Amino acid sequence: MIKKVYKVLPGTGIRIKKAGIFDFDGLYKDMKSWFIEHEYLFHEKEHTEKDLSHGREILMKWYAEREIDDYAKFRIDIFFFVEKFTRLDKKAKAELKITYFASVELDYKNNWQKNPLYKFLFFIYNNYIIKGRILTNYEPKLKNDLREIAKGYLE
Amino acid sequence: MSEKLVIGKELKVKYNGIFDLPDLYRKMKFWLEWNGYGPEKGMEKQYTERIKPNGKQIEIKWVATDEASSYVHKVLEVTFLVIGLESIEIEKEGKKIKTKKGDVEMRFTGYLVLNAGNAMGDDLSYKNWIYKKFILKRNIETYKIDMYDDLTDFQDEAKGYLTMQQF
Repeated sequence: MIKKVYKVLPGTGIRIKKAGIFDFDGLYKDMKSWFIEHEYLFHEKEHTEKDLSHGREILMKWYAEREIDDYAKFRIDIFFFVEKFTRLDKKAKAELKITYFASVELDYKNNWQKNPLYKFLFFIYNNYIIKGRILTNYEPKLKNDLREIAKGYLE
Repeated sequence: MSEKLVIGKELKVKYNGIFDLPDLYRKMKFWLEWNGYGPEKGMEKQYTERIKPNGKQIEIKWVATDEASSYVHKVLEVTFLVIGLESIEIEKEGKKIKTKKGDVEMRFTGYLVLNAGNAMGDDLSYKNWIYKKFILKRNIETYKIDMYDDLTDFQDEAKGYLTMQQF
């Protein structure tokens, strides 16, 4: 059943782990640039840093949204958890965990949420009339965007 | 009545470690003034200091406005919450320096105020409707981008000061 927020990834998201020496500045800046170039409205919702005895701990929560048309909007949430972070010249040594979440928000302008009749029509529209478009157009497009992010900066 | 268009809401920056609060306060205030946000007096809506067993607790709230035009105002809101602030002594280049240590959390919100001060009459007035529909429509995207850039730059300024990762 397709709801207002249609999740294209499992509930726990996709997790990527990386440990060692890597270009953290590059990863941080390039990922934001990718969102801007692909017309996403990007926000760093939370950024926490703590100095601990074994290195710095960084927690970041990002979200980016893109209006696909008047009806659907993509949303990507990315959580970073970095441990044992130490700077080494231009690179950094750390343990990095990244979790991705992605969803398509339907009727993001809330035109079909005004009363129970509209909501019923909204349900019929999504699950019978444009179900094909959601599954064969929106979902692969969003998954492709996710693939690009992961491929470009983490492989 | 004026209309509020939120660009970014409650974006958090948290830091735990050594920092100089008066210097951070000055740098942030300077950024606002340098980028045309004011007024200098009256921007600070709240300043509360409490002495707690684990150190000082400070709450600060600023609401800064840039009157981009007589119709559109850009507003940046920032709240500081500092907890467990205590004086410490560190050694830097062989010298002992007095500084502070604690937790700081800053929350940033940026929004546009349309029809600020009812410049074009109330919401239902024909003047306001025509202005919104035909004149502002062309510029609103520019204002949104400007506001977004200001919000992220301001957030970055705080992160930079606290030697956090910046864009």
